[in-house]
Formats: sequence, structure tokens, C-alpha cells
Amino acid sequence: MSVSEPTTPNGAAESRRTRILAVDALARVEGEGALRVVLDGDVVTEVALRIYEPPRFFEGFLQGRHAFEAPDLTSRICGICPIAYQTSAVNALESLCGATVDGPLRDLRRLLYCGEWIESHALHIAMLHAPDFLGCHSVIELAERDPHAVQRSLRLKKAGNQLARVVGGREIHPINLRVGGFYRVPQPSELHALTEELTWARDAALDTVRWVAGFDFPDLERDWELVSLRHPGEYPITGGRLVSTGGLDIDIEEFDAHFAELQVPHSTALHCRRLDGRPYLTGPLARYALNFHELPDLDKEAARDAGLGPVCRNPFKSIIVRAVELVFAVDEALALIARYTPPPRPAVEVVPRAGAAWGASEAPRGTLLHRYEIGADGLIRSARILPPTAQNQASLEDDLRAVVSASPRESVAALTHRCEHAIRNHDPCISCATHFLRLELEHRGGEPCA
Amino acid sequence: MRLIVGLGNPSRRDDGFGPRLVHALEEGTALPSDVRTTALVDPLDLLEQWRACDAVVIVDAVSSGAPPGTLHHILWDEPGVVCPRAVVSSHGMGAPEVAALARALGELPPRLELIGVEGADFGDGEGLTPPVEAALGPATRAVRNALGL
Repeated sequence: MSVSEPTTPNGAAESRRTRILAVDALARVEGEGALRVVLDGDVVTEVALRIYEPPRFFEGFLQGRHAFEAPDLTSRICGICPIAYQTSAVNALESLCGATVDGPLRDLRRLLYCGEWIESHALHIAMLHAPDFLGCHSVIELAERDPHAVQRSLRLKKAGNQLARVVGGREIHPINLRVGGFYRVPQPSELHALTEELTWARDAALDTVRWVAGFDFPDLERDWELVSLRHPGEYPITGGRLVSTGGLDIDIEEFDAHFAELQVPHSTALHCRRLDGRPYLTGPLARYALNFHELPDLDKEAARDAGLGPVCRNPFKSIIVRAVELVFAVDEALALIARYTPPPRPAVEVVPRAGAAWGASEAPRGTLLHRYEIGADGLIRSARILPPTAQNQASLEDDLRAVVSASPRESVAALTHRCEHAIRNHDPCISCATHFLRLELEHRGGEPCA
Repeated sequence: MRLIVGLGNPSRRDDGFGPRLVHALEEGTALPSDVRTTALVDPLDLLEQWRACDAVVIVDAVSSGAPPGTLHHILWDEPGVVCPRAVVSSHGMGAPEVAALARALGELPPRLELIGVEGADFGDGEGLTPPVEAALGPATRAVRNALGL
């Protein structure tokens, strides 16, 4: 972190009215982004989360490819949540082609997805987010102070990796998911071999909830409209209707009637808002608030013991919600393994046909939507992909405004840290390329900050 | 057990140096039975891979500002060593950071060395740039020397 303070012509820094603060080489967000906050006196006049990572043209180069290639191609968008990309793609294409994948095949997809939640949440909680609460600059410092917590998270992540490998064929960018089902389904013995480690992982996840519940949390309540999938009888992972705390309850085919993507000059990722312009938030906080009733008692009790009600609107407490979801994902995986019987065939036949359809699933960091239009030749005519971080950009900016507005006279160092922390609350995945965040905080007028 | 790790992403040009060297080693003269080789994309996997290993050599592309193809040979326990930062890693942690994490966790192998080659191009695509390609021979000799092979 470096702080540059513009100086007067004679070199004195005393009469500064404008302050620019820069943070670079921050390794705890995914992708290339920057942040600019302008303070006029005590008033925040500008907040921009700038995503300057070059566009990756996935939606463009999918055109002309066979539709059934989309799950594997789009999984390459992210090394942390490839299963989410595969699942949203197969959901869209199976819907488009009129295929139904249910029963044990659907359960197996849910099991695979649990592996991704375990990996991603374990990684984010300890490696990326917890250091913010404990005054550590990195997980290395955290490991020096609390090696047990870091070892526990690494082992949890590995348990998720193992699940992804056994069901998905390999740990990163699994290769076993296809339109219609899987290429190969595991034998029960392969899954039962995971039970012992997952049983450990369930206790470890409960310990994780207790660990993070003991952190200090800033007082901040946000009035986001929370949006997530919902499916009767289950906590949402692999699909469902799209619902919100604002009363929305739609089939995802109606998405464009309620939401609009728009380009803003400071980001190479499209923003997405409700049609009336309001931002919204997807992710663990949204899933939890909209689906608390679907959580098993084990998770509800863990949440209650951690001081959470059925809705959590403090963005900093997302780490507790993520830990509760970690318990859920491990417990759900154990339940799915216990009742697993191999499907009679690894996939149902799906014949491509002309048309267009949406597909969605709950990536660890929020709702991921895909839409494909394909021709009678099975080739993709157009593709749209709405990652959760793109959808959350506007709410993230609002969070930053709220955080800085709550204490505009704090030191720039403290404010900067709070802003970075506020970004990490939502586990943004800007991309999986390189990882630098540069933060600029410009302070105009008012009391100079220490 | 001794371990040679090629670290990097073959789809990011010179970042694929480590895996390329390891694959060449695997195809060459047979290695002693107590020497294992592996190619990794995610440096965090080192923690798992080097468990119970006495000596580990990591081959990785690095970026320190030196001319492309320059070899860096770093013994982790040399006091005052400043590691060149690995710039291309999947999720923000390079080999130096993972080694620091392992040290904090008490999981650092007794002997850990890095054979780094200065990369020129970490953009999308396969294949090494000429100066990095030319470093394969010297780097392979350095790996063999490090393990007394």
C-alpha cells in the first residue's frame, strides 16, 4: 500500500485539499479492478468500481460453436467456479431442447456443485476474508497467528476438491458434466470413500462458523434488494425460480422483463439493474435471506448460535453466512452420498433444436445466468452470460458509499482498509487472470485526514 | 522422497516453462526411484504435493526485471533472500507466498530450492519465447545439480 499526497509548489503537504490513496498488488480479490472514491468535505460525491480487465469475448466466440460445447468452453471462464458455468450452460441447453434431467442425475449434479461451494467458501473465508477482521495483511500472517484455522480451511478446501475430482473427473475445470447428464457416473464405493473426510469436514465447518462469529463486525445495515434462485424443498444450488426480497418471483425466462444489462464507461463488465434502475445483490446473503426456511436444522442452529437471524443485512457478516453455507454444502454432500444409487444411464439423450432459453444456478458468489439461442443446425447464434459479480457491481459501489459516508473523517488508511474489506465482503471474482486492485481515494476540502 | 515441481500455466506462454521442463525430464533418462515429478497450475497444491518430501525443487517462470531467459537459483533458507515475485498465478499466490505460508504452518520441506527463469511474455497462448526456450537446457542442468542427479 502506498499513500501519495499531492504537495504544494514549495513541497509542503500541509495545505492539501485533495488526497489520493493507492493500493496495488492486493492479492485477495480475483481479477483486475480499481476503485475511486471522491470525498467533498464529508460528502461522498463519486464512487466507481472500475473493472479494466480486458474483455474476454466468450459471448462472441461461442457464436458458431456447437451448443453442446458451451458447458466446457464457458467453464474456462473461472478456475474457482467452473461447475457453476457448466451447470448454468447445461440447464439452459436442456431447457431449450426440452430435456429433463432429474432423479439421481440431478442429485449427482447437486453433489458435484457442493464440492465447488466447499472449495470456494473455504478458500474465501480463511485465505481472502478472515485476514481483514484479524488485522492481518495476508493469510501468511494469519497462519503465523492461528495456524490451526488456516490448516482447517486448507483441508476443507481439499475435501471439496476431492468431491469435484470423483464426480467431475478432475479438481479444476471438471470434464465429466455434459448436456443430458454425465459422461460417466461414479460407483457408490467411490463416493462412500469420501464419507469419512466429509464427516470431519462437517465438524470443521461448524468450527469455522464459531470461529468467524467471534470476529468484530462494523455496524452497517444495507437495504439491498436481495435476489436469488429458489426451488421448493431445497436450498438453491442447481436451479429454480428467481425471487427477491422486493417480491419478485419469476421464471428465469422472464429475466429481461425485469432486469436490464447496461454498459458504464468505467467497467468492462456489464452492470445489471432492475428495469427501474435499482441495483440489487446476489450471493450468500441473498440466498440465505430468501431460503432460510429450506436450511436443515443443523445449519439453522449454527446460524442462530452465531447470532444470525433469518435475514442478515450487514455486508461484513457475509463471512458468517458463507460459513453456514459451508456447513450446509458438506452436510448436503453427505446426505446425497448416503442415498446415492447409480443412475441407470449416465445421460439422457438430448437432441439440439432451434430456439432460445435461459439457464441459471447459484455459483458460490451468486446467481449465474446463461442464455443461448441456437439454430436448427445446433450451432450457437447468440450467447449471454451474466456472472454474479457483474450483477453486483452497482450494489458494491453503494456499499462503498455507505462505508465511507458512515465515517468520512477517519484516516485515509483506515478508510482504505474498510473499502477493501467492503469489496471482499462480496467475494468478487473479476476474472481468473491476474489480481491487482488499485484504490484511489480523493479527498476534496474539509478536514485533512491523518 | 525428492520432488521436482514444474509450476505454471502452459496456456500463458512463458508461464508454461516449469511444466515444459518437467515433461522433458519425464521423457528423458529415467530418474531415481525416490525422485517424483509433477506439473502444477495452482501453487497452493504445493502444500499437499511436498508433504513428506526431504528436498523439493520448484521450476517456475518469474518476473524480476532481469533480461528474459535469466536463471535465478534460490535456496529458500538463505538469510536475506528476496524472492522474485511470480507474476502469473491463478489466484494471487505464487510459489514464494506458498512457501511463506508453509513456513508459518510448519510445513516447509527441509530443503527447498527455486529454479526460476525470467519470462518475457505471460499473455494468452502456448509456446515459450526464444530466450526462455533457450533456458531449458541450463535450467534442466540446474535442477539435476540441485538434487545431485
